[in-house]
Amino acid sequence: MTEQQNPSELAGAYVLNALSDQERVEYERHLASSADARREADSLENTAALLGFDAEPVEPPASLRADLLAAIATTPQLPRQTATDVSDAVATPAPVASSAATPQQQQPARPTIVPAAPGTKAATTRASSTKAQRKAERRWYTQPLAFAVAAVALVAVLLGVNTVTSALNNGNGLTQALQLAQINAQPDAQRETIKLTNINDDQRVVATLVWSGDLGQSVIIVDGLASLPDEKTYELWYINDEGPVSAGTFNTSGNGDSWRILDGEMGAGDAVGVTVEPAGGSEQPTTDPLIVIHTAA
Amino acid sequence: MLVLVENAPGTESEIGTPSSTLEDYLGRVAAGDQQAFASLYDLMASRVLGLIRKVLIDHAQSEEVAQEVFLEIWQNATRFEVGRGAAASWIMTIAHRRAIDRVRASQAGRDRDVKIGIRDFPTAFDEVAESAEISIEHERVSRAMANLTEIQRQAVSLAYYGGYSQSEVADILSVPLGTVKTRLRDGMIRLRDELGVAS
Repeated sequence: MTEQQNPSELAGAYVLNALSDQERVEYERHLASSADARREADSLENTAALLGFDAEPVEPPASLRADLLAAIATTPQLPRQTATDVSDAVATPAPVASSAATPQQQQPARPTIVPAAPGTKAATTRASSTKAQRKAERRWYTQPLAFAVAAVALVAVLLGVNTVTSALNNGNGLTQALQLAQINAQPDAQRETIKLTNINDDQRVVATLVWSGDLGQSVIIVDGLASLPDEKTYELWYINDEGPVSAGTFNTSGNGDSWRILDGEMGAGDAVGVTVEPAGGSEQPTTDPLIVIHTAA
Repeated sequence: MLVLVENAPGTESEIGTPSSTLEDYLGRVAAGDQQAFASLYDLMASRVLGLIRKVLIDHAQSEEVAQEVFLEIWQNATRFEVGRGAAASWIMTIAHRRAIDRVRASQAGRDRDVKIGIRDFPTAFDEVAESAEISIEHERVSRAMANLTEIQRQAVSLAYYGGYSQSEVADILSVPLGTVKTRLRDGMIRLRDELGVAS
């Protein structure tokens, strides 16, 4: 049959998992013999993954997480691949060969594969931040990981290929988006999510703060926060022992979503608060904060 | 989204960033770090379960499969190949494979109305209650899907979300198997190009 003469025809069905076991084995044999075919299959596999992300997220029950964490504690991992494995052959033709060829086992892959935003201080800070990083990690690990998965996924998506689109859709500029990416890329980047219920409309509000102590910057992402009429605005505050310092204003879209980089410099341990203020913002808060996120350990 | 971009020189700074977090976790998971596994789970669980659920429909089975998927991630993290795409893509690929395995294994899966696959695309996008960013992704994928031919779109959708094999897709659409193969491939290539996935 023609399909056997031209196995590359099966690339689409392969990445969509639409082959029978036997067909798959045959196609994988073809893959093993052709770098071009592997490249195509990889790119189509990544495309299929985007279709996967398009499925509506479903929050798993907490028991699933607990079961898994218990299970992995006693489940051995496979040994690492050897240099003769197919991975090397696959990696070679790709433009990222240099980073791909780096064994992934050592540290986080980040320094090799992800340059920081050009001209930023991310790269320079990174080298000298091991102490902060250790501290951050210690804190990270000792905190209960009670993140709102949806909100964090939202950060991830937001920072994705669509950085530009998202930025424009949020009414934020590209600069803001790049800044956000930079904050999130810091080795000491941390997140804290809080969930609240708006007593007026029972709407659930999720607010996530992502911050980097090294950069002294933070970004807030809110979901479900009612949008304010024109004469009012949400105002952000860095709060410490010396009181609140304004960190800019924002409003939410019709469906209550927004994000923004906070103005000014974040001090270590500053809390971040959100109040409702008259349009244009206030020097000092005139209402009690709706949201307060603590960043101190 | 997070996937692909390491292969696109010049754009890494914006795009590679988020996946690096996930890749960091995966790197640490490969070294046996259970906390990193918990973090990776927190980032990906709703996406993994969302995909499995879409394919399997059945709630309880979906959770079982999600558990298998995360165990597999734990066991196989040592085999993750940095050069071949981002961690997110690797994880979603495992999730899809296991979901499909389950569909094939259980006859229950076969009882699903064939129409599930077909109607999926048009209607799936009418659901609201999502965060803005997810909607934007949605819109991008949906626009890319809209640019496929009818048969490409149906074939890709039946295969990926419906879990049908290429032969089953051929039966459902009443077209020759050879046509399905071609449409699945050129459909995916078109999606890849529309979505800006590096090839």
